[in-house]
Amino acid sequence: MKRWLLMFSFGFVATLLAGWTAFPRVLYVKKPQPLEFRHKAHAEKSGVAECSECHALRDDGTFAGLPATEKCAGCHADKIGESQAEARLVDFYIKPGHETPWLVYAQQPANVWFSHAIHVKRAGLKCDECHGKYGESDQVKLYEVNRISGYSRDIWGHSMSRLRRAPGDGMKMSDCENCHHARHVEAGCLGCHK
Amino acid sequence: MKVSRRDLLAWSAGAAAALVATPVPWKLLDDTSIWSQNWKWIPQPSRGPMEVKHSACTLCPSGCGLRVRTAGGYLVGVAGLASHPVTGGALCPLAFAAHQLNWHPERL
Repeated sequence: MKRWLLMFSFGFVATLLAGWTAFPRVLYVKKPQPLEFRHKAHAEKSGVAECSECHALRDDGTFAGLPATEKCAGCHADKIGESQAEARLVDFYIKPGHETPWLVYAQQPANVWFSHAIHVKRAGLKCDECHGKYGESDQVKLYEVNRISGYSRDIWGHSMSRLRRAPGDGMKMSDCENCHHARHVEAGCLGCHK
Repeated sequence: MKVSRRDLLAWSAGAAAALVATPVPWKLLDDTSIWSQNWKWIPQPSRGPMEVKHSACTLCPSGCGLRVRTAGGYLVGVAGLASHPVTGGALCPLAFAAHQLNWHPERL
């Protein structure tokens, strides 16, 4: 093989490897959630059957997102079990009345206007169509924050190429657009960017 | 093996050709464009329940009727109040931008 071709190939392969393996590790910083939380245990032991029992819509139709500590205190006013996470929940958040500073995987930019009420009630979408099967998980998933944009990795999706993604992986504008096109619902620019 | 200048050029050409087939340029372009929308001096509406309140503009003696939107208690939008008996929903440019005065760089 000619020497220049060999060098060209070395450069080509080294960059491909670095771009697909090292780059995502450098770009995203892993951050721990403040507490352990098990969706599965809550569904099984405390009989929480619907996502909306904790992630509820307010009376005006807006989405409250994460449940307030007050909601957790309904069952966890005193420690249940001996786990460290339980002790942290009760001592640091429930007794002093502080909100748990969860890192929100699906946090969208401030210029996005999104109504859960329209998507869930009028369009009849299931939570997992956008959020994945997170509700059945046995532990909080890893939160990875993008060093440049400051958003969660869940917005781009876990596949760097964005090809062959699992359903509910990725929440970019193109994901919204694709779903809207597939359902023949046109929102226009001002539908989401007010 | 001695590495020549020509070797380095061939290596760099290979690296450049491969770069476009990696997520690096495309992801960096996407992330920097998002970063440029979120500079810390750009005011961000607070997150919280959205409410609509009726009010009157205080920026001149006309007192036009306002329909204001708030997010988490902060003013985020102003529109004319169509049911107002005098102004009937009409507003001047100053009133339409009234909520932005809070964020004016020279505001006292």
